[in-house]
Amino acid sequence: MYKITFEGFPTLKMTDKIELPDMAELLMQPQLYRASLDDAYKYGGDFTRYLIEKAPLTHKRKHILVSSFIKHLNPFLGTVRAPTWHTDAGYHQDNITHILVANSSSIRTEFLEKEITLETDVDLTKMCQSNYVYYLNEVFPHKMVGKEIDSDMYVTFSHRHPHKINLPQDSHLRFFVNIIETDDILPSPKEQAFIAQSVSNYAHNESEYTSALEFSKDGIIIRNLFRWEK
Amino acid sequence: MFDNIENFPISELIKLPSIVELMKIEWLQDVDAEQIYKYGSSINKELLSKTTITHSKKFVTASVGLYHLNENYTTFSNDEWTFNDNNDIIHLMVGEGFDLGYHSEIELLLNNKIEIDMGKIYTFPSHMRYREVLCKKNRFKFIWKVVESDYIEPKLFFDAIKTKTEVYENKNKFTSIEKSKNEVYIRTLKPNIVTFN
Repeated sequence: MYKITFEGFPTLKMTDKIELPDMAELLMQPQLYRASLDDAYKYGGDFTRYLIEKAPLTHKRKHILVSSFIKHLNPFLGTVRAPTWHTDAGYHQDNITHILVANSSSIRTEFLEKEITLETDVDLTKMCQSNYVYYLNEVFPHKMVGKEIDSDMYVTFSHRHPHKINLPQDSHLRFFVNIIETDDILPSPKEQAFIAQSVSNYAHNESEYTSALEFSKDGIIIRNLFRWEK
Repeated sequence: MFDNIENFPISELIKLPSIVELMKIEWLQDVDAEQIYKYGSSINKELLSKTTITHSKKFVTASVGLYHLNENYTTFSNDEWTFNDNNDIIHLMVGEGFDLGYHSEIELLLNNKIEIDMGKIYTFPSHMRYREVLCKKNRFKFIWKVVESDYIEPKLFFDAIKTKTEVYENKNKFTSIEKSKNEVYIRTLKPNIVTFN
């Protein structure tokens, strides 16, 4: 038998609440996906720099990837394919992740309320992430008791903190920051990291993405208001 | 009701949902308010049910819409005090919700100027002066207005639906938010897009 421990709320780190502007100002900001810290700081504008300065970065990893974007979510357009427990990397990938969700989103990431230890007949620590999440959701769902994080603050977690997010019940815009300190993932080149289009998954179809929010010099377009269209 | 101008009715606080939900409801201009109960979305029905209609005038019309404003725009066509001598009764609310800013920027002139609270329906006679002050910042604004009048004739529901809201800059009119089938365009919000050429 093998034992594996997953962590939860007791070992999450949280900052104090951070003041954020309202949605009209957030929609003005550049949208970033996995920009390098340097590019985010140099080209992201005052608000991106403010977010970076408020983040509890450790600077203990080779790369820091900064994502800061808004998604349009509704009951058929989720931010993830399905509301399943997962980790963002394999058990031995030692990333440090800081996330922040603005108050205006009705859905918040859930982490385990308490640390759990699972006994299995296979060594989960040697599995890739997508295989051992099967065990979390299908074999041990009764152990996965979640609790939502609060909004407007950075929450820092490791690769040993499973988490999940539920599908949205209403239509709204969700502002989200994700900063990953990692030895393993390279940041995107700046031409790709600064995005004008935000995509949201189609919640019930694993392979479909659709454009739900677009930014252009002529204004902002919110798509798929009432139904999903490709 | 209006004997003491400082004690006119103000509703309880009403919290609105997200701006995307407010984009999905019908926006209306001078609709026969009763028709909202028949054809309207649940948000508009709720707002109407919380409006203290006096039923003392021939007609009751409702107007509702979501606007985007930046520092140069207003929802009123000018910054002068609005009033008339028609003996209308006005019910006005600037919506409060997560995405809707922090100040109503609508002033009523009583003994002094007061800025109305967001999220509450204020009821006052049409001879009372009110105006919108320039907001000086970028934000969304939701306005609910019901007018009881012997003069303003209401429109049928499907004639009163508007597919866009308009804002003013120095008395020039601009499209603020425009709806089209399954999409909404926020035309007055120009985001900062970073490009590398």
